Amino acid sequence: MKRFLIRKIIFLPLTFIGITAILFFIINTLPPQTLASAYSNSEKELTSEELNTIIEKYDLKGNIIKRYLKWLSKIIKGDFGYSQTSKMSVSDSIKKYLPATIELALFSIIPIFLIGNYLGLKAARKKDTLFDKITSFTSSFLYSIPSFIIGIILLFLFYGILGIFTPARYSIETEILISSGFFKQYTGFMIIDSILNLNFRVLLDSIKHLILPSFSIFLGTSAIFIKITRNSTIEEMGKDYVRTLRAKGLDEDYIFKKHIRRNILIPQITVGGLQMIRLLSGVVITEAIFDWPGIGSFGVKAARQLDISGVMGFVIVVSALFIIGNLIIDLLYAYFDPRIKYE
Amino acid sequence: MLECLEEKEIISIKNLSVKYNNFYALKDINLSIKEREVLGVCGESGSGKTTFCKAISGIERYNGEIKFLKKSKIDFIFQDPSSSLNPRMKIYDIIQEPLIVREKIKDKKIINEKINNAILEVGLNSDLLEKYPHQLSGGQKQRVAIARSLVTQPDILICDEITSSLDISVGAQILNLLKDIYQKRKITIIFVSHDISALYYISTDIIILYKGLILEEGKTKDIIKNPKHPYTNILISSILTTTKKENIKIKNNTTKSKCIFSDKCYKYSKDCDNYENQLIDISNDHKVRCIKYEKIFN
Amino acid sequence: MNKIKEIIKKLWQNKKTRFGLIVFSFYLIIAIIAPIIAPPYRENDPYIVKQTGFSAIPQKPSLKSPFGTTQNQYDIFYALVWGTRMIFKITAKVIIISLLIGIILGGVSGYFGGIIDEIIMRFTDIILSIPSLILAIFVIAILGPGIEKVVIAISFVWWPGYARIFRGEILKIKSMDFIKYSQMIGAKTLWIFKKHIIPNAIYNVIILASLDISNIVIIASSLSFLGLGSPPGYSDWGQIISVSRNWIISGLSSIEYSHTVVIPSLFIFFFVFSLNIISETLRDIFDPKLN
Repeated sequence: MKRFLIRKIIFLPLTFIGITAILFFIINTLPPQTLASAYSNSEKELTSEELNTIIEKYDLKGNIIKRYLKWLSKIIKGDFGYSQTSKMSVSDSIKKYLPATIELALFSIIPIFLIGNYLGLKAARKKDTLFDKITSFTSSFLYSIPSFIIGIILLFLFYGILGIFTPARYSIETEILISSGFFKQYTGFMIIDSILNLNFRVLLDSIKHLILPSFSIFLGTSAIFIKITRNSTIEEMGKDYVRTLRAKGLDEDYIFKKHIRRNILIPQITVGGLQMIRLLSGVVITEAIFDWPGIGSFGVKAARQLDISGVMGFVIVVSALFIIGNLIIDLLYAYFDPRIKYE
Repeated sequence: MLECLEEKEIISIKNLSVKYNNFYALKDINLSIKEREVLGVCGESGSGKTTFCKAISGIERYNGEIKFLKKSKIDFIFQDPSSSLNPRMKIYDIIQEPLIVREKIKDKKIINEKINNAILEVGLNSDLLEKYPHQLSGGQKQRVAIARSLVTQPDILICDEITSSLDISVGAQILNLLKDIYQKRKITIIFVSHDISALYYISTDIIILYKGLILEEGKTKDIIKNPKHPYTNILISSILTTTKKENIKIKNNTTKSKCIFSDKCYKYSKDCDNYENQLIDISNDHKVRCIKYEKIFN
Repeated sequence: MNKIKEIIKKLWQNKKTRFGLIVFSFYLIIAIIAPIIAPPYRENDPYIVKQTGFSAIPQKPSLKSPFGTTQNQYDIFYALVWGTRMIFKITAKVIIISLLIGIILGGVSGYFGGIIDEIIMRFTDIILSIPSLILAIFVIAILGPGIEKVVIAISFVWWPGYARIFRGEILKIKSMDFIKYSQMIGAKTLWIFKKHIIPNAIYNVIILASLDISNIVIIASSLSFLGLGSPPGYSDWGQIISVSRNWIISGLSSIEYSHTVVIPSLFIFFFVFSLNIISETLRDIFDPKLN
């Protein structure tokens, strides 16, 4: 098992280098003048003289591999350059926007796993009953609706018509508290920060704003997790060892808790992991719909304005998250699958 | 059993060897294949028989010399007709391929004629031409493969285990077909098989391959009636029950012998230790790699 | 060709899929007769959405505009109809381009092996390790917004999937004896590809491509929705949803204006839904054979 994991861990930086290389070479299809604006740190539009100075300084017409290596060394140190979109350095932008996305993602994933697990198990135990049929049908149905449509209908329903929830991450009052310095953002995660600030109003406000977008994500992506839970549970229930345990007189609930739940972890992790992909891509849409100030919104705005350093930072950070996420899945998988342990 | 009365040599093989990384798939092969010979190549898997075919076909790199004494067309028939026929091609197109690729014939009339002749020669009906391989039986598919290989009138035909994946009765039919074809045409055949009874039936000459070396070679008559190598004897005893004796079988010896067959040989003794696998002439065409050839029957 | 008829027959027999096929054909017809049922508003570019008036407030469905209008009087019916045509165009182009690139590169990779194989496979690995929407956004950031750029961006993200599958099929086929036979009789590589490899390997790739259609529709609409595709005022499903959203965000929305949200949503939903039903059954048809 150790060798298997070490191999995976070694591949990580290689994949990362591969990704950065491809991104860099794609960017360099742009003419040097356009690239120059990415290297500048000012807000103004540059004159051709200033552009030429920058072209000279960063050797933008020079050897591409040298430039790639120079650029890569900066990236590794965390220097992604300056973002025209957010008027601050890209790394600062990432620090500002990424926590919002992660908070939303976690707030969505946890219900998907908990509720999805519950629904899947229940549907399996009540196989072919009305409950099972409704659950399966509803989740498949929702899964096939494009995420922006789910989002917009929820937004319309709960904001446009009912006015219960509002878009964005927090209300105007909270915004004022933050900008005036009365509310300190220690971690960037509103839930944690509001506890640290001992401000329960803000805590409730943050949770209220998290509900709608995470519900949107839940509706759009939970189906597969529910399905795999249900199907693997049904498979487990038919296995010989379960029949043996039943024959021994063990309680059905006990069998479920102690045995079946553990054995379905592996397919759940595999599938749950794959759901991450859909989530990461989907979060960009959800952030756009609900005006959520996360890394997705930042990346899209940067893309619209040809903010090269911004977009680059966005893609690299998301890809890095993605690769690390995959690695975690592999680690979990290796931990829970006894067969791999003995390889 | 067939006999070859030709004297003209068509393939001259001298010191042929094929090395993969650390071991020899073929070593020390010297053969003079005559025109209209049916050379039976007998061996188990790993003996080098497929490498032998590949080398002669020119798709395997080898050391030594393989000379064709006149410009010869070589064609092939493979073991598994399910794999050697393109499942998405009609039979007509399958047989047509060598005519287009090799002969570069473009005249549809000529192509039609040749294909129809070929399909009749292998004993099949011309309605099969519009069908696909999966609609045919194993035997029929193999006949198609034979038709394909004959349609360009090759001089040399290499058959690699062509009856091994067929039922015995079907395989027998194929052997008969091959015999008929041989008797009607001027063709040299290299017939590879692990089944020595098939070789007995169809070959004029036989070589016994084991781990890349020829352990025995000679006319079919001599090899079958008068085998000189213990391994040959083991192979034959599986078909000729009259000579079967209890102790003629594969053994498991631990030896430090230089003889390549010692660790399986029922005739092994300490005198074999220093034998370095030289080829010994017993008669004109009969050669063997064994020093116990005089007394192979216990 | 016969196989396609066979497949459609099988799909028709299944009740669920029959519904999917009917709905899909309905959209196909709309895309084809768009100029008839929604006469072009502007001659130079029929995709520019018809505006029926000057009011900033959405108008309810009426005889003049069967689906109603959005804010600034964009006719929803016009936008959806021409948007259907647009989405068919985009999807068709993406599939053709990415299939072509995927088959060529996957083919070279699988048939020749060696270093070329390694390089191409590493390349596809890397592209596939970035979520597709994210990478597509990146490519558009470089190329600039626009429908043609959307096609290029999505094709760029899509071809590696096809390349891998095609390569896998080729590896299976490469070891077959009929390939060896052709090589042995001296057939040229192009001949072997044309007559043997492509007819056998392409089957799976085509199936995959047809299952992909709904994904391409979603990613194309998403890119437009994010403002990276068609310009505003254009008939594009993503654009329509974006306009719809803007009205909700403006705070002026209420249940009166539900047509601006519900109609486009249902229209797009049924298209994607029909595709998904068809995909599910297609997958079932081909699964046992794939093994």
